[in-house]
Amino acid sequence: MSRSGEDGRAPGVPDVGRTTLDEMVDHERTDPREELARTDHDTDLGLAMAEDAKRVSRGDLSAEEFWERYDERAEREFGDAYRETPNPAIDSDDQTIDAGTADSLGCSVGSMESVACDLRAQDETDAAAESSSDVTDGDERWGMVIDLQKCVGCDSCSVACKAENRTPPGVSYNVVMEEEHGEFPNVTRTNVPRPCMQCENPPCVQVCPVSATYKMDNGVVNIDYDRCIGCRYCMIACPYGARYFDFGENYDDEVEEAGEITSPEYGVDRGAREDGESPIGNVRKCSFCTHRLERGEEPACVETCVGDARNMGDLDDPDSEVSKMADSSRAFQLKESEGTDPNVYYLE
Amino acid sequence: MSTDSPDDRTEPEDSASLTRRDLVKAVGAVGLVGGASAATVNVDTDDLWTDDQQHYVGDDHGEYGASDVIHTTCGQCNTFCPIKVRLADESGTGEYSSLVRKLAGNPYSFLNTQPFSQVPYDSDPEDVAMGDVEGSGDVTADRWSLSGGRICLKGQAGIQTAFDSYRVRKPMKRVGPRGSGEWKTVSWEQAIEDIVEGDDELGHPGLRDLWGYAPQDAVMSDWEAVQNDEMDKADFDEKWGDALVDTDHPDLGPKANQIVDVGGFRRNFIRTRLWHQGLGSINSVHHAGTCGFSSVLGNVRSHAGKKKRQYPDIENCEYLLVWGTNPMVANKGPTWLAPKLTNAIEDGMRMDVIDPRMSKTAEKADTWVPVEPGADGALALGMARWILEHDRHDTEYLRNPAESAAEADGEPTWSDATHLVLVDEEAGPKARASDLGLVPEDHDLADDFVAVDASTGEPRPVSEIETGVLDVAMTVDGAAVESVWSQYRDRVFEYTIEEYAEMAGVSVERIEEIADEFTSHGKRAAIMAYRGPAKHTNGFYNTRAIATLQHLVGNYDWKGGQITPYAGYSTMSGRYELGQVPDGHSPWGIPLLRGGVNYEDTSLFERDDGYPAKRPWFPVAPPQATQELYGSAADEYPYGVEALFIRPYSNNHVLAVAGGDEIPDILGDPDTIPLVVASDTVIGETSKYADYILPEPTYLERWENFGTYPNKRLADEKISQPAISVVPDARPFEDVLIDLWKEMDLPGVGEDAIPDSEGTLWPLDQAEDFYLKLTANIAYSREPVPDAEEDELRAFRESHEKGLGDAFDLERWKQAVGDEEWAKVVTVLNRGGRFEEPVENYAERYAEHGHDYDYADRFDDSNAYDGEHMRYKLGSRVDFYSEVVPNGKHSYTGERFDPLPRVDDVEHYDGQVQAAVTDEGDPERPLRLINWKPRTQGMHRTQNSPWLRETRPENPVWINPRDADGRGIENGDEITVDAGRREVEGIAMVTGGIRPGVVGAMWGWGRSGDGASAETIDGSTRGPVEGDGHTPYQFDEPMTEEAGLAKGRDAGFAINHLQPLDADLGDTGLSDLVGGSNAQYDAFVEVERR
Amino acid sequence: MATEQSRFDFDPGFLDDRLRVAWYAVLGVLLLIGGYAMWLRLTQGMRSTNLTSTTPWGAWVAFYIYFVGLSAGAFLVSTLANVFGIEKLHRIDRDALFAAIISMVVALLFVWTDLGRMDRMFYPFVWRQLTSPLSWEVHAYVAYILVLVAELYFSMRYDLARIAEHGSGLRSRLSALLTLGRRATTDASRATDRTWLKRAGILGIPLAIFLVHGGTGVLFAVSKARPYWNSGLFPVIFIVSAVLSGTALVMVLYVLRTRLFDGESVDRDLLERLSVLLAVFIIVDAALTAIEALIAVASLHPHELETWSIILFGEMSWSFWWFMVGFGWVFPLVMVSKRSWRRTPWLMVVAGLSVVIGIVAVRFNIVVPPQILPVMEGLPHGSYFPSAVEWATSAGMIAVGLLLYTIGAELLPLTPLDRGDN
Repeated sequence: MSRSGEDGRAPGVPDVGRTTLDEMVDHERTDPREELARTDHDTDLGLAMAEDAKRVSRGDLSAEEFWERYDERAEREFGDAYRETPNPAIDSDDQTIDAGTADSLGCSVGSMESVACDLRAQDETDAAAESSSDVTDGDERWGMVIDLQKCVGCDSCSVACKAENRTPPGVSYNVVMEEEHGEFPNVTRTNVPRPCMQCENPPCVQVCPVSATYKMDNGVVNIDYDRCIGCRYCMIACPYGARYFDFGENYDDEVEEAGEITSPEYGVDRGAREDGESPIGNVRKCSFCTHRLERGEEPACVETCVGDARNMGDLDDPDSEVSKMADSSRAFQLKESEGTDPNVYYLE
Repeated sequence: MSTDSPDDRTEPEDSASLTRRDLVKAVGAVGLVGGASAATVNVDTDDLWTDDQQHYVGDDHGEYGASDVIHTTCGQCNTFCPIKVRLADESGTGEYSSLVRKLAGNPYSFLNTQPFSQVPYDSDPEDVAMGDVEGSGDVTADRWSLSGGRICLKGQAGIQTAFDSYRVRKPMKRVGPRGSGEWKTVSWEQAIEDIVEGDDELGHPGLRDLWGYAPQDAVMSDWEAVQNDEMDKADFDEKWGDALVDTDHPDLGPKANQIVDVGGFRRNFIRTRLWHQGLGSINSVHHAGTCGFSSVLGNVRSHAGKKKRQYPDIENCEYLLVWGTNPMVANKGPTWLAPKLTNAIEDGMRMDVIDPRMSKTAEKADTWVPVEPGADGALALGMARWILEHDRHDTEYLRNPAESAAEADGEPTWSDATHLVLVDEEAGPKARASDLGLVPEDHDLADDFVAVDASTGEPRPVSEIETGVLDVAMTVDGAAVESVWSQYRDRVFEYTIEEYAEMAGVSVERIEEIADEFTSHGKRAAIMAYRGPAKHTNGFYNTRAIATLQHLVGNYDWKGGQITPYAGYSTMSGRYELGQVPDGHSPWGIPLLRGGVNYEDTSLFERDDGYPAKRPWFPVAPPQATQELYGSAADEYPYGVEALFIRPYSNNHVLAVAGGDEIPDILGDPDTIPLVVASDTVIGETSKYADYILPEPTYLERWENFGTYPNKRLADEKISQPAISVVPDARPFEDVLIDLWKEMDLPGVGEDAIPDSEGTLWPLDQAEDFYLKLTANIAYSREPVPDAEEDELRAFRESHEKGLGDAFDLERWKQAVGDEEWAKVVTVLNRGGRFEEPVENYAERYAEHGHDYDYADRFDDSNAYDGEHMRYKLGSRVDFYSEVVPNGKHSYTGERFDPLPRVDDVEHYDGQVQAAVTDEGDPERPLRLINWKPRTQGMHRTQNSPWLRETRPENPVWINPRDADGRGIENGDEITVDAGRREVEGIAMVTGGIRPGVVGAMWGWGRSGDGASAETIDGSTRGPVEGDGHTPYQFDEPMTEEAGLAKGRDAGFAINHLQPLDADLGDTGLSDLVGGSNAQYDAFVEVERR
Repeated sequence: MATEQSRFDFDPGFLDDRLRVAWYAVLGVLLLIGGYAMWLRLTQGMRSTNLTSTTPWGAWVAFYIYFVGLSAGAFLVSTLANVFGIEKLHRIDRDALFAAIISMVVALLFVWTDLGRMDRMFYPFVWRQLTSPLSWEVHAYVAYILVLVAELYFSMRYDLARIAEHGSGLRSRLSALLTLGRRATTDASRATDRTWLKRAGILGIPLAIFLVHGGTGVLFAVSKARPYWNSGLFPVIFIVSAVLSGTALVMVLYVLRTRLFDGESVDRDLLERLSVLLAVFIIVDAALTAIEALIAVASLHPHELETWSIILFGEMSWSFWWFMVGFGWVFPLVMVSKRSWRRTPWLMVVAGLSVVIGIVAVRFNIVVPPQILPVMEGLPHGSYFPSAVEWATSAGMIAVGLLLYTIGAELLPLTPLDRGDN
């Protein structure tokens, strides 16, 4: 292990050779006011701003007032440099400067909220995260957002998943459920696609007697086909019906070479499907196509989604598009009351 | 600078350095306590470290690169999306060359990446395969990143079409009578020999004997001579007897016409080159009559320029009226229409859907308008009436009589509203300037239409008029004329809105609402219509009524309006003149399907004592009324069919034609058609009755150049190339025909068959000789594509070697085009075609703005738009009044067809009403049976895929609770559907999503071919495919079929076998005599619980 | 208090050889059928069942919890004798213990057969999951079986030692082995046995109630996905019906072995006492079930309502009304309603068997109905009835249990040799 941590660098020792005399300090000067006065700018303004900035942070002065008071003067005084760099300057309620200030500073402003969102359910440090490949950082928490307004209920996701993961008859990691409400002619239908929710608090993991199914660092719930004893307790526990037992059926009666290709789920290539060999006799479910994600590809169902309803990304990255979608007021999770906290969000 | 390890340090080892002890000392000496912090840390190592180690996590992510990818075209339905075929790594020991790992959309194509932008055309295939194209998004941060593109579920399942274990593997000859289900395999040589020379075993004639040809000019001038008694009839018979169908009726054309080709596609090659010019037969039939024929013709007759289809500019449309089509899962195609639509709706577009049932598109609609089936004309004319009454039509637009006036208004199109019609003349033609004596016969404007100039009140040639007068009824030069607008207006006002509402089964308020909405968005309102209104015998007029609604707002070629971008790259000419056959024949004569010919104008009119004609004629439609094929052969009307070559792809008529269950009897009798040859991938319902079935490669294994419907903003041209080879003995039908034609010494194949642009002749020995040249034409079209670099050439070779194995002969492919062309051909093949980029400098801009950016809309140099207009335009007149249509006469009654849109009943050939629109009607059974494209199947051809059958195990019958309750039917109940002539069993789906009085089901089910029933080959019998699942339970309750278990391939019932037969003909369904369509939504049934 | 040697006469097992042959023949047939079915199960995998991904647990799980219940019930009955010193029950104490052990063995056989990967049956001892009731259960079962065996040992050792000492032949040698070397027949050694017996019993009660049987109830109750199971009463009902079936079993065993093996007359007081106990348990069980149903109905939780409607009126209703209510409750209650009937051994055998069968239905009704209803509206409804292979393997595994029991009964001093006089 590199001694400077996983992915960052340590700061370096400055190079003496580059230390120029210019940077050195003149012993003679003693009076800071004088020193400030030597610059071209208005000392008093600088000091006053500093003073008032402190008042703002104490709450004696509102941020708006502060900027009203100083913004123009400061710009006149300090010129463009004033707008050059981001500066929190003001400790306002939500720990960020107001938008106007941000504009005036010419910088982008995130917010504590977005940083905080990033922290939600975070239970590991960067250092602890496993770096798994060169495409993804390995510290993602994968999440899917499905827009029900856009889902046209076409089942392309279901079949893409069959083709990608080569699941046997009766095993369909994704299904699209239909609901119809109302009476003619005021009928509405909703199509609800259902992959595995990769719950944050997965009941399936909770009940597995051998920890064959467990939550990976990237949020995906894994099933270890080499460990699973096929007790099916997890199927009983899953509130979403997302788990399927591999009864060992196959398509050989109508498709040539149906079992030749299998999917390297979780990055494990098991070779051709063979009678009596795992995953036959195991429980199976959607893996969020981690093998594709690791390669930098969308899961098969997201890639192909014909309604442009499925979205994939890192929920731990507050700036990722899925985080923002999952945060929107339209977002909800299936069976929220179960406390499973799915990583699949739906947009109403 | 950073210091990662001690060795990197800038200081020599032995220099002064702070040891840890020194630090303690230094800090201690100072005795300073650094500012204490009130914060705390809680290092819980349990959480951090004793977490279970991850297990079962590998690093095999199935890496692949450009050498594992071939871009071609999907053929699972007739949308033909560009796809990316990812080949599997070495595995297995089958006959196949390579397994397919996965299919996805082609990321080079904008058709597969909506609403995002495709990768730039010049992107290196390796970068594309690796997801390394700059700007293509990032899987962690972007909601969708571009690795593969989108394709629908049917496309995803294409793997199971190629690897269908019921595929035909060798040429097969029937054993026993036709349709016996028994076959024996024969060699290709044997099959070719038998087909050309005839075969005693089966007792069929050979092509050599059947074929005969004579040029039209020579024959007809002799015939002229016979008529004028300048030539003896016996001499004529003697001279032309071997060449003509019937020397008494030379207008039937050469004997070659009795050799008929049926096949939906590869028309450029097989129809134009081989059939028309090689064989000299006029009869090469495709599926139009069963597909969108009346819709196409309704549009064709409503626009002077080429416009077969109605599509909106979805991205900028504000109000979209979807009329009897289902773009979210059908139409052409869901892959790009659905994501465009869902995003447009999200961005505020209003979409209303007119459909008797709540389709997947209607689910997303703002308003669902459950119209009475077949009454769309009434609904459209009702809307028109409201629009006219409320003056909501674009008068400015309508008063432009010609291009010049339109141009002045910034209108790319204009209408015939102001044009004058000669009302007293029989066929009611539009007046020409010379007809009315406005200009002399030889004047430039002699053929100009005429309108009344608003500034002078005088009739003038339209080119001279700025603004025309809409309402005109006058006499000019002794001729009574009326303006088209007056005629149209009178037609619209024939009924009140209340009457229209009654006919359409839609409330007056609803009609007013959608008419109001349609006329509230200026040019940014448009209609998308397709088969729903068209597949009735009144389909042509329904489509006319719908199309002309858009004339009222003049939304053609406007951003957000109705678009007509027939935008492609040239395929048949450029480097090679692929349509030219040196010394080729010219086909002539009356087409078997009697299209484009008036019965009156033929020699049969006299023979058969005039009206009614024995079978329908389609005087104003091309000869593609497929549904008439078998009855015509049986009746030998206008002549018999001697040999039928059928590629059932899109022409599986036994299931595809309404009343197709009558076909087996006709095909089964060798006396009717002595030789039937099918080129098929499987033993299908139609090919089952052939004498020979020749194994075809599936779409993943052969060449093709499929078109794209004009519903895209940019140009594209797709090329299909073989990506794998599953059945080594399968041969594309082109190859077979080349062999046959060579045997018969017909032109267009072999040596010196294809001229290039220099006139040099190239050989045509195999399909690729043609398609590689076609690719070269594409490559050089417009701005030639760049040459493929070394890397790309290698990727091309490796991927094709991997995919095709021994079937790939690089040198042979190279020989098919010029050396300097090859690198460009590879560029196009590596990308599966050509796809126009939305803007100039696209690659650069893409790298900057990424794939989630609407280039076409945001840049001035957009290739999609031209200011407020579409870049690819219709740019022509649009017609309320079609002069062409009334030239045709109904071949039963001799009545002229109507030049205007109209409300019409659904009628049999003899005029008997099948489904009334204008009044209540009196159907024999209470429920109208409609049907639609299966969401989960591409016609019938995809039923071989268990992945697809799993998503919907059969086609349940939708029935409204109001109809179900009285019959004691609940969702999931087993029912019988009684159509009078036939009963079938089905499952009820009780839903509020269908109009009361109407029931319906997906078409595309109830197969008996392709593994749905037993097959015997070389004495060994193979049973049908059974359903999946190890338990006796069925999970087929409609709307909760998500158990992932397929039923057998015979699941469901065949809709077309419930369709009414034409009362007069008795051997096929009903036809629309104007638009040519086979009526498919007009059955009446009763439904009962089983 | 030593008994006279002259009266020492240990010859358990069938009194009637014809009966013995017939009984073993029946078991043999069942074992053959079960063996063939098991071969099908092994070669075809789970395809041989009628289980689906909608209804993943079926007959084998139902039998598994049934036998766990039977075991716990039998154990508790024996414990009443040992811990609370109900002398009357002392006679059937070992019988009950042995039956409890055999029941557990059969239960584990069912669990094993039910595993998708039977080859991995030892994995739960290699990897664990703290939050998994099943993980706990597996360990609890082992502990429980050990306690049972220990109890049986301490309960029987004295007699074993005596047989080893006085008897001859196979039985004697077997008994000698089973004493594990503690061959003393002194009163002191017997007192030690008693002490340990009591200790093991005290250890066993919580194990049986909370871990083994309550735990098996918890196994279901934790499943939030299935509201029908996800209730606090569930483990309680589990235990009550377990005790009920255990009581019935012990009663049946007592009568049968007394008549068929010992050839003695049945102690009618004891019989009546057992049958009253049975009646009480039936009433409690029925009451709890009714409460559970009422709670479910009152909750208006659609999933629960539908599950109950499936149980009461749906495709499973025959099982509820005929087997659970009919055989499990009504018929036995009628049987024990008259004092004279209560004292009639063969009637009580019928009543007991009726309960034993009825409780099988209870187990089916616990396991299957919540899996018929989909966990999400829009997923398919399940259907389930055991396949022939499931029935036959079940019969085979039950036959294994009966065989083991019979052999034990033939060879071991399951009835105290002292004829009840302490």
